[in-house]
Amino acid sequence: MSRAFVLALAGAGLRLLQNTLFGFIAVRGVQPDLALIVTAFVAFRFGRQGGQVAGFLIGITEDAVGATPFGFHSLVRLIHGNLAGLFHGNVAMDALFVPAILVIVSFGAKVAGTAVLTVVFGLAETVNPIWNVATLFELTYTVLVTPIVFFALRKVGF
Amino acid sequence: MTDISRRRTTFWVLCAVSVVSLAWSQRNADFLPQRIVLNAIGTVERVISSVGRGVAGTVTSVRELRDLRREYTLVLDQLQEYRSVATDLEVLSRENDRLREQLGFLERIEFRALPARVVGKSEHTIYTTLTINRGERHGIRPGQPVVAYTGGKEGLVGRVQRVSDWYAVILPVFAVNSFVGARLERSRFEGLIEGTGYAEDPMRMRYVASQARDGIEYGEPVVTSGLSSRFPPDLRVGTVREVSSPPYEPSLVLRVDSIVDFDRLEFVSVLLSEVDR
Repeated sequence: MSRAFVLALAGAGLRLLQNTLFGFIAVRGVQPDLALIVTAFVAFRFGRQGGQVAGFLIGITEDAVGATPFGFHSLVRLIHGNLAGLFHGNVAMDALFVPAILVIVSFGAKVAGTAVLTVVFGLAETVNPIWNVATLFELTYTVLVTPIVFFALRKVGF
Repeated sequence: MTDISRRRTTFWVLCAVSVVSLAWSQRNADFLPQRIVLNAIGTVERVISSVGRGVAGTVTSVRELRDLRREYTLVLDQLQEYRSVATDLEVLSRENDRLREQLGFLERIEFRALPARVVGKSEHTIYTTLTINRGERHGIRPGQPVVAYTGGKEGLVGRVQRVSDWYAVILPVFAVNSFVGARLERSRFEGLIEGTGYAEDPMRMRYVASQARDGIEYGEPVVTSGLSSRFPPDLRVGTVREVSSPPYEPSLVLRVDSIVDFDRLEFVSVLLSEVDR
C-alpha cells in the first residue's frame, strides 16, 4: 500500500511536471492525460483502494490550479480510480492491449463523471464542452502513450 | 476492519470530502483549503519551473546572447521612436486633461502594472489556467485584468480567477467562461468577446452590428471597449480572422485570434487599479 501511495504522489508530481516542463508534448493544444494513466496503473496493480487514493490525490492537485471548483477533479478521479481497480486480479496484463483497454475504460469514466458533475453542480459556464473532437484526440493521444508509461513504471519496479 | 470495509469507508469519506468541498467552493470564491493547497502546489510548480529554466538556460545561453544582442538593437531603435512619441503624448495628455475638466468627466481610473512570472500552465481539454508567482500579499485580487507584452505589443491575457497568499490562478481570455467588452480598433464597432475554450481557435466576437461588415478588415485589431469597469479601454485583445453572418443571428460573428502567444508566455503584468490599492 505504501508503494501505491508513493506512486500516487508520483502521479500528482507528473501532473505538475505537465503544467511546467512538459508543455512541449501538447499537440494542437492537447496533452495526453498522464495522471489518468498513472491512476489506472495504480488501480490495476494495487486494487481499488490504491486506485481511489491515487485518483483523489491527483485530483486535489488539479483542483488547486484548475478553473473548476475545488473538489471537482478529486471526485472524478476518485471514482475513476475506484472503477479501474475492478481490473485488479481479474485480467492478465500484457504490453499493449490490456493497458489500452484499461485506459479507454478509465477515460470513459472520467468523461462520464465530468458530464454528470457539470450538470449536477451547474458548471456548464466553467467547464469546456467535452463532447467534441478535442476530447477524442486527447483519448487517442493518451491511449498511444499508455504502453510507454506502463512499461516505464514496470521497469522502475512497480 | 477488513480490506473491503476499509476500502468502502475510504471511498465514502473521500467522496464526502470532495462533494462538500465542491458545494462549499462554489458558494465561496475564497475557500481556505483551496488557498492552502494552491500555496503548496504553487511553490512546487515554482521550484520545478526554476530548475527547468536553469537547465534550459544553460544549454541555450549562447543562442540567448545572440537574441539579446538583436533585441538590444531593436530596443534602441524603438527608444528613439518613443522619445519623439513621449513629447507628443505629453502635449496630448495635457490637452486631454483640459478637455476632461471642461466636460466635467470623472478622472479615468489609473492602473499600475505588477509584473509576475508564469510558474504553471494547466492545459486540459476541460479548462486551461495559468499560475503566477504573485498573490494576495502582493495586492492581487480576483477579477483584476492581466496583460503581457509579446512581440513588442501589449495584449490582454485574461483575468485573475483565484488567489492564495503567494500565488494566483489566471483565467485566460479564451476560456469558456471569459467575456470581454470589445471594439474594433479602426472601425470602432462594438461587440462582446467570448472564449471558446481552445487556444487554437480562441475567441468569437458577437453582437457586432451587421452594417459593420463592409468596414471590417481581416487582421484588424480588436481592443477592450472599457465599457465595463473590469478592463481598461484600448487594451489589444486580438485580431480578426474571419467574419460571418449566421442566418440565426441578427448581428455579425467574428472569429478572433489572440494577440498573446500563450505557448510562449513567461511573464505577465497584473493591472492593479487605484481602487484595489
